Amino acid sequence: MLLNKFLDSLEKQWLAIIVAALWLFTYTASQEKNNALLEQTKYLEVKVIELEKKDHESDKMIDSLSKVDTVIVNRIKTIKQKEYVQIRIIDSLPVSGLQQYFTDRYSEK
Amino acid sequence: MGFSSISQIVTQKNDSVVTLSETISRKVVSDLVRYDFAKNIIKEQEIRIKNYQNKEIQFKNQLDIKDSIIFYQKGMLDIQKEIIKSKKPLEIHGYVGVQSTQFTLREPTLYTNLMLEFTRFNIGAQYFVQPSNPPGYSVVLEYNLF
Repeated sequence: MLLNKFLDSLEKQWLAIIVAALWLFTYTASQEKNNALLEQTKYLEVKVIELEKKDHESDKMIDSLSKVDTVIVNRIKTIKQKEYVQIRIIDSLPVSGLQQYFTDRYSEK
Repeated sequence: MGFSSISQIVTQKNDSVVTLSETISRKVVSDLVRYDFAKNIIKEQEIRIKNYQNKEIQFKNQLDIKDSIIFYQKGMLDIQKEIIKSKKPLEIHGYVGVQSTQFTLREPTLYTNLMLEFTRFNIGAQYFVQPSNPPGYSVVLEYNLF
């Protein structure tokens, strides 16, 4: 009896049932699709964060290499200063000093 | 200042002896000192060149990393666009048209539709008139196949 009434009401509301079913179907389908897309976004976000870390490390590395370059330039400057001092010393070196230089440089071992 | 000279006597037999004046020997020593320092500078410059090469590699790596970041961010943007597109709010559209009976001009139906359009399906009402029939209305339900 109750079931018949229910079926009757279903028959009368066929359009509403079809619309509701269609809406439910499309809603769940789009939700599933959205969830998959959000998962993909999360995956990409993680990838981007990892790459940004690598980029930061690379930045640090480049900075340290630039510092090394400055150190080398300073070392070259020091070598040139030492060279200048040595040349000045040679200018005032006595003959015996020059002889000693040759002896030290070309001494036979 | 008297003329002084430096002799390099080599212990080998039959070897010639070269005599240099003080000025020339001073110049030779200066050149030798410059040569020694130049060798040291070359060593430093070689280290500097290696450093530049490493820097170049790092810059190339960084460029690749930045390209990858752009690629992934572009992917993220595409996904966001797709999400926005799938969450498109419903739209209301009105249509008016003529429908023939088979491929003839007999009994054409003039109709107007008012449609609520969702992402995947549309629902609306249709009002139609025919020359020899009373006007009527109906419900239109459409599912978006492609």
